[in-house]
Order: sequence, then C-alpha cells, then structure tokens
Amino acid sequence: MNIRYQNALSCFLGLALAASTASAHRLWLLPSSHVLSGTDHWVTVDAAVSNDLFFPNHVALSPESIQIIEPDGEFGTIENAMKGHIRGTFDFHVSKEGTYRVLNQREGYFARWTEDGEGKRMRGDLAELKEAGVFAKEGVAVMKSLSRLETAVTVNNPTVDVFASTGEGIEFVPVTHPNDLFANEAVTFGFLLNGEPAKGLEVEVVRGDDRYRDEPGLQTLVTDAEGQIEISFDQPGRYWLDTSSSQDAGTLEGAPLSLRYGLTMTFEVLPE
Amino acid sequence: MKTKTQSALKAALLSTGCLQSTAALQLETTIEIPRLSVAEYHRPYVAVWIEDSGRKAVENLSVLYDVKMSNDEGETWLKDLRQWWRKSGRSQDMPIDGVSGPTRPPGIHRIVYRQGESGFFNLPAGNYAFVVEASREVGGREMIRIPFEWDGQNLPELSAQGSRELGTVTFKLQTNPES
Repeated sequence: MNIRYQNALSCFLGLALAASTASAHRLWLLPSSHVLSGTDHWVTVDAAVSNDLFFPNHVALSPESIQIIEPDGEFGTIENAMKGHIRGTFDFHVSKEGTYRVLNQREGYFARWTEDGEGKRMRGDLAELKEAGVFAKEGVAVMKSLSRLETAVTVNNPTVDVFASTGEGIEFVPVTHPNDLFANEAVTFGFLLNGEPAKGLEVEVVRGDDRYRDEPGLQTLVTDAEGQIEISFDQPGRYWLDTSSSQDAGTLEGAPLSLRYGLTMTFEVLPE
Repeated sequence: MKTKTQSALKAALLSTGCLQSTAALQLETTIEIPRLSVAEYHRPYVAVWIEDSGRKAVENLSVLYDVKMSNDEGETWLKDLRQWWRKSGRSQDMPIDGVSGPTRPPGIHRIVYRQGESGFFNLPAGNYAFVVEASREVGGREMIRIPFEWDGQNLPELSAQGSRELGTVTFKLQTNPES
C-alpha cells in the first residue's frame, strides 16, 4: 500500500504551539461511530482543540487538514466540511469493509533566535525558513516537528493495512486493534519511532467526559523494549491517548536541530 | 436443500460414531422476551450461540434481526449485539443460512436445534456455554451465559433468569422424540 500524505503545513501554523507547550490544550478527532455493521454508512467527525474531552471549548481544527484513509489505502472524500469557531466538522461515506483511518498530520519547522535583545520565532517549511534568512541569525535553534492526530473506524471485520508504517515519526501499531476494545480486558498497544519499536515512550491515556469528574484519572504508561504498553480500561467510554518524543539531531544549515514527534489518538472502549 | 443436507449429515454422524448416543439428540431452548411498557418499543435483536471454555464462539445457533429490510439495512444494528458481533458476527457473511431469522415479539419462544441439522452436536466433548444476547433499538441490552458440560451422554437441563431485556432462558439437551 502506498500512503502519501498531503502537506498539512497550513494546519501546522498555530497548532504546533498548542501541541508542544506544557499547558497543552488537547487535540481530538471524534467520529460518530467507531464500530459499524452492514455496508453503507455515513460517519460524522468533530475536530477540535479543547481542554475538556470531548467538548469543544477552545479552537476548531480545520477539516481541510484531515485525510480519510480507506481500508484499501485509497483516500476517502470529506464532505459537508464546516469550520466553526470552536469546532470543525465533516462527514465521510463508508462503503468498504475493514478499518478506516482518520488522520491529521502536521509537519514543519520552528526557529527561535534573539535579535536586538528581542526573542524572535518563525514557523514554516524549510524553504520559507531559508528564504527568510533564519539560518544566518545569531544563536538560532531549529525544531522539526511531525505530529499525528488520528482515530479509526471499522466496518465489519477490523483490518490493519491503514496502520502501515511510513518509518517517520511516532506511529501506532495495532497489537490490539483500536476498534476491538472492551472494558476490563488487557490490551496491548505498540508504538514505532522512525520505524523502530519506541522503547521508553511515555504514553498518557485518559477517558473522556472529564468534565464530570474531580479526578481526571490520567494513566501514564511507559513502553517496554518492544515499544508496547499493556493497559486495561475499568470503564467503557471514549478515550484519548497522547505521546510525544523529542531528540537532538545535530545541525541543519549550521543551526542546532531538534526533532519533535507526537501522536494523539481517540478510541472507544465498549462495555462487555 | 434442508432435507438432503440433513440426511447426509446424519449418515456421516452415524458412521463416525463420535459423541453419539444411540438416539439422535436435540437442543431445546426457550427464550423469554419480556413485554416492556415503554413509549417506543422495537423487538430486540437476539443472538444465540455456543462458546468454548476460552469464550470463543464455536457455533452460531440463531441470529434474529430485521432480515427482510431493504438494502440489508437491518444489518446496521447487528453491532449492538456487542459480544456476538465481536466474536462471530463481524466475520460472517450475513444472512447466515439456517441461523438468521426474523425478530420475535414479546413472549416465550421455543427453538429446537436437531442433531444432523446443527453443527453443535459435532463439537468435541468439553466445557461450553450457551449464550443468549438481546439488544433492543432505543432500549437496553442483556446477555445470559449458561455454562454446561457436553459429552454426548449426559443431557443437562439448565436455566437462567434475565433481568431486563431477557426473561427466563432455558437450555435442555434431550433425545429427539422423532428419531
């Protein structure tokens, strides 16, 4: 399967900060169904950046930045896209059997430097940074970022083709399929970092509807040598998973370069 | 189609002699669908199957749903039979011959599965569970699991009581009075 990702730079602007700061607003994609039977359905998806899961209360995520990858690797069509102030929404038609992946992939560069005692920064792709002469600035440091926000929807039998690794960034490995999750059952999720098992990755998992709880009940797990976590969910519901990884990566055009990878997912846990 | 398969199966079973008592057996179940006083009532979807000791579905007995709806629309809600859907339904090509059937109204429904017609009787001796799951549109969902031991000789008679979407469910292995 040949999955090619659209350039989602437009979306990178503004969102990278939300995704990389500690005061993290949460990015999420929430489909109307995760598990479907039969063969002809519509799924509607909400896309937002918010504090409460899964209630829009901050800014919308643009439907333009989202791709539907169908079970056979084809791209699906986004319909009825709307971007409101605090929530983006769109529909996609489901007519193939297997697992669909809804993906928002953001990548780009972020440069910081100091000029005349003033902190400066710039986002963009590599060409834009070069054109702006960023690499000639004194004391400039550059970060390259690749983050994925995704969820999965399955018609009839779950399939795994849509999770094929590209070898770049953090990627999910469906050891337990994300559309086959039930409360009080141990499940295993795997993660790759640049195509290799992501050992020692911190993964945060929290159930939605935290608005109605005093204790959010955030679970933090660390991946083992195989890049896997084992987890169980004591309650059914819709969950949010988030992980990221940063590393120094030498220099780019003479400037120190760091890499930041992120992965955020939404999935559903059913009661027995 | 039925009679031919039936006699062929019966002959095959008789010749193998495995788990075979002299008379043909049957599994009789009664499933009570309670009458509910709700504003919007739809008959439940009901799945009946056999699980092995690892809770794997090994034999589908019945799936009662809106089989006759146009464009297979009745299949839309099969996923709401959550456990059946997961363990068997999602990998089946619906409808399943001899297993799919229409929904039933409130009342006590007797269903008989006969040796020679149902694959159940070909299962090796062991511990199993008889499982009934009911899910109602705009309503609730309930699952009843009746564990039993199967060796082709001892013929258990068991029952369990549902609390909301199912009433009494009985499970009885017996010799087929017509054999």
